[in-house]
Amino acid sequence: MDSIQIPPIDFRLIAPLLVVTTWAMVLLLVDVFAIPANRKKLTGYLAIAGLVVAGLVAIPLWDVSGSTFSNMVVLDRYSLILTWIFLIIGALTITMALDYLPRHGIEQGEFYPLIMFAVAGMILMAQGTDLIVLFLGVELLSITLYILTGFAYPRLTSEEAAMKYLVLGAFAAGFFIYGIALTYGAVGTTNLALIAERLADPAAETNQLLLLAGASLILITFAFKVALVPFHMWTPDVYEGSPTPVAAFMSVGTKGASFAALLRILVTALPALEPFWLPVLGMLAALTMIIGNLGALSQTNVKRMLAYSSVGHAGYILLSIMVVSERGAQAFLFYTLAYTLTNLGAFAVVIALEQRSNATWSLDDFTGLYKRQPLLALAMAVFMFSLAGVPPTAGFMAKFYVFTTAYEGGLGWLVLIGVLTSALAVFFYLRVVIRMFMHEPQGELEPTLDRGLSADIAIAGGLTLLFGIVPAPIIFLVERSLVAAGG
Amino acid sequence: MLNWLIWLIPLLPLLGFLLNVFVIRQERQAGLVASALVGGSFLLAVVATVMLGGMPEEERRVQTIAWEWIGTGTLSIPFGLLFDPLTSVMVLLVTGVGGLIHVYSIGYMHGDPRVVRYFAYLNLFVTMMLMLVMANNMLLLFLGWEGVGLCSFLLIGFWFERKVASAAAVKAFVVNRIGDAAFILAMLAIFSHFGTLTFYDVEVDGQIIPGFLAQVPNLLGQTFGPEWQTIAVATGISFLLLIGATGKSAQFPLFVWLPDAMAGPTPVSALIHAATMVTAGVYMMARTEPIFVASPATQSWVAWIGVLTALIAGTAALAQWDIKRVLAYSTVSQLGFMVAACGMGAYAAAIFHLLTHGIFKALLFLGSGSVIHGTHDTQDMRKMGGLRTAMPTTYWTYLVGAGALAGIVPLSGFWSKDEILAHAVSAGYWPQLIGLFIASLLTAFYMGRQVSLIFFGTQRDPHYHAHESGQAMTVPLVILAVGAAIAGLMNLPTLFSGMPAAHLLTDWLKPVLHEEAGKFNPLLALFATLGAVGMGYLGWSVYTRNAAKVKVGGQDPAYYYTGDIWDTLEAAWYVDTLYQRAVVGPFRSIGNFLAQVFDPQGIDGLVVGTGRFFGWVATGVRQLQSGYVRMYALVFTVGVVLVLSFMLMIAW
Repeated sequence: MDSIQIPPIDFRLIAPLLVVTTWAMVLLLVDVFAIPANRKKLTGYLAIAGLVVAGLVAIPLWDVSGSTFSNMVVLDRYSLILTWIFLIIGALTITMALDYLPRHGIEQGEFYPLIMFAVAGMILMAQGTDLIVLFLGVELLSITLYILTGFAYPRLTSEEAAMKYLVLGAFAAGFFIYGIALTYGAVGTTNLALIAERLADPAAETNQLLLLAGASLILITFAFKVALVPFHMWTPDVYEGSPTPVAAFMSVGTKGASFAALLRILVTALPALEPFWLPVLGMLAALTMIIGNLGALSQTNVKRMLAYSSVGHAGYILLSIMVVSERGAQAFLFYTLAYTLTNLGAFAVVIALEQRSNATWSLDDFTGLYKRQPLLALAMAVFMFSLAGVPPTAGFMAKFYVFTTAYEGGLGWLVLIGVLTSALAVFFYLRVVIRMFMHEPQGELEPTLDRGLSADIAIAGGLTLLFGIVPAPIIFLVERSLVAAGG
Repeated sequence: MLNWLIWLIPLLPLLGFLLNVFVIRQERQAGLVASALVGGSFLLAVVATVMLGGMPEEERRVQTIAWEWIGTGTLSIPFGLLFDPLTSVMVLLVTGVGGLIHVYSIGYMHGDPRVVRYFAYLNLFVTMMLMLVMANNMLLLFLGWEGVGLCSFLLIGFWFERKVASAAAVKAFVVNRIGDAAFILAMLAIFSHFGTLTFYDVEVDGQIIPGFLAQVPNLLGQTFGPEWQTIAVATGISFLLLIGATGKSAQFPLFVWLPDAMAGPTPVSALIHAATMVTAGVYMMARTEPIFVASPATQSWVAWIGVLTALIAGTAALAQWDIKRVLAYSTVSQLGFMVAACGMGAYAAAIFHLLTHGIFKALLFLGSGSVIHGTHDTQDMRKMGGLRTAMPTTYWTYLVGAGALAGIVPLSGFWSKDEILAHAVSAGYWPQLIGLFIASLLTAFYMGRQVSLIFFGTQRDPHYHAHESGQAMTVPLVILAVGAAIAGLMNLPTLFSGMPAAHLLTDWLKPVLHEEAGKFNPLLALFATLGAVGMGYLGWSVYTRNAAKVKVGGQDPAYYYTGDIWDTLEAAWYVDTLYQRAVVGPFRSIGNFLAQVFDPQGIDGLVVGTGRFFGWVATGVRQLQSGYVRMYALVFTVGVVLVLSFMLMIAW
């Protein structure tokens, strides 16, 4: 009788993931038994500490690469950079939430470990090289997000958002599983590299129809997660309903991780199918850029506006993903980082203006902000211009990077749509700026700027400007990440 | 030394901006600091130009790199400045005229509650404009390009209490974004064909980054596009750049934002919307001249767009009542002259006209500001009249400016305009010449009209007591008037053989533009002078004789001759209306439609008044973004079916 072989496991390669996960599990217990109800902020600080430790643990791994768990998990610089980005997202989100939760009376200690679990899911998505592992990552992320979305428990809209997200998320998970099953049926493996091998091998018998169906379903799942049109409809509702830090987290985290996984799937497993998925993704990208930006145009609710804007940005990121080259991967990483900083900053400003009693997130809240809080208004202006892609901000550099890459990659017509829609987009970002700078303040609304928020906004705003003026170090880092999953 | 000196030129105004944002809270300090720093920049620019002149002609190009801005495997863009003859004259104009306008602003903006912010914006603008003209690559130029657009936006909307101001600001920004989009596409195309975005070869860390301008001949014969209609690459790139220029330099069909931009404070109109920012398009075309020259197709488009703009705006300027709108349309028209000159290959002449126009148009705007200031915010010329006694300095300086604009010999505008016309003759651009000549006649007429309406006759509205402006305002006027009178000296044609100091500017620009000075055409000069004097007198006399008939709500005296055409002119040939109907209206409907159909929870006041059709469809399909999760799942499923069938269809 054959004994079951346990493959050798190199825990070093998943060190950051291990740190985040175990830290979160321990923190859950610590929170329940050791931290009194009125000191829950401490849990938050501990969670940030955990993310920082994970980030530090990852540093010596820069020169390490390899795969483990029977090639189901890989460590390369691509995943390492993404890991850092995800850790930053987690830390900034928690900083935002530290005072937000008590202010809105929804402070529960488990919020912070939950964010850590979500980050763990994202890291897993960046490292996974097997469809099953990717599924694990996606679900770990999604299930935590279902809870986080409904975290503002007594508020109906929050529950509604959680419910919607759950139902549609489960719907998408079904497609994902089915897609994996069909793919397995077609090629007999779920390992990304092996799938590519089977496809390249003329002797192997693959059922192409089955494979295409499977691949489509997998693509659709990610299209849902990153909110590509027409799978985007949940976005405005869910963002509006969920607690604002969670919306901020989702807008950058879910997108970043899902795109990271999608890129790896396309590059490692499905390059042979490019003639099939390229037109499909091209259509989706075009639709997403157009509908996302047009949708944002008519919003008076800032959260919904940012939701649509995040849909539009998914379209731009998709452009970089579709260019399956090293440059494409670089552009993707740069865009993700720039977009992460900018969007988190913008949401932090929204939080500062969010009143406890009647949070309408109306554009009117921004009226005359420059007069009341000049620095806050300046920061928001930086974020808006960065989202709109106006220099000298990181957002412009990122767009420029993506557009040059896509143009070189032969996606000329998509670049055209991208440039035109981002020209259009300036209109609704500008409306916020106009409210802030070209109106006299009205009403009593006073922004609440606690220390966490200020730190968030300062970091995000400073880096957004810095990377716009001196992007070279980031580009240097991103270039060394090569990568491109397979290459 | 020049290497670090030129860095100080943009850094001084930047320092002023930072001080005004973070340190200064007092009105007086703000104005002084802002003006002093721009003045300092001007002095440095003079020093730098002199030093540049001391170098041998072929070496007159200094580039310094601060850091490698973007360095990826294939693309390397340095954050570097360039100082060569073309840049030097632009820098002198920006800092010189800009400095005077700063001083003037101290008087003009006195007492405004947000004056510190005003000077901060103004300093930022100068910084960005300097970036634009000193950039050694397209991307940095674009940074300045967007930066000046942003400052322009902020300053047009500066008096946001006036409703029109913020609408005008948005209009300017959005219209400009059309040009910017084309500019970005041009950059992408340049990059993909040359692999670089720097203008000239430059050394960074021991590596030579090639410049693309020298490689333009390689484009010859290269084409792109579908097989049934290929387009030469040079044509494609230059045409995109042209669209970019039409946005920033307010050319047909994108000029509509400039007249509205007059809602900003008058010194802003002088600085940004007359002397500097709007000339950025012309500067950019001169800088990338080899690409334009490589494409005869684009060149003829450039020429015709310029001529058309000069004519449309020149006729529109005839029929305006607002003192600043006359000047605004006049600016558009003169920019048309410059663009036409570029199109006819006379880039040096275009830059010459750019410089003289920068001086005399700034003078005219500041003069109009002085009038507005002295008449307690009156801008309607029908309420003015007879101001020459109350405001003598303003009157005399305005007269000089108007004469220069009209092309009266020997004021500066005559020489620069003549240079363009003479080139049209010698190069045989006859139809364009006729267009430009008519436009220059119109110029003389509307300036005669304006001078008459403002300064002659008797004051038609007795509600204010007109007074001369203070010294902070009149001194810059006088300086600019002197400049407007003598600026022609910098590029006189060879009037007689052996004339010393002829065509200095053309020679100075030779290392960049490689142009020979044009010939002086005495016959043309005679016609032009007679035309200018005649039309100027005609405009003056018609409105002076009929001064009594001019009143608010009444018809223009010229209406008798023109009839309804007058209304067409007043509306600038309804270009703006056309946009409202053909672009803005449908766009709003679509926006409203999308909002109603897909997301009824977020309808904005912006999008009211859709057609019945849209309303009808909207109610039919509105259920989609209804908030019901089953609907979302349904759309999801439809999406799945579509994607699946699409994929499988390809496979078939």
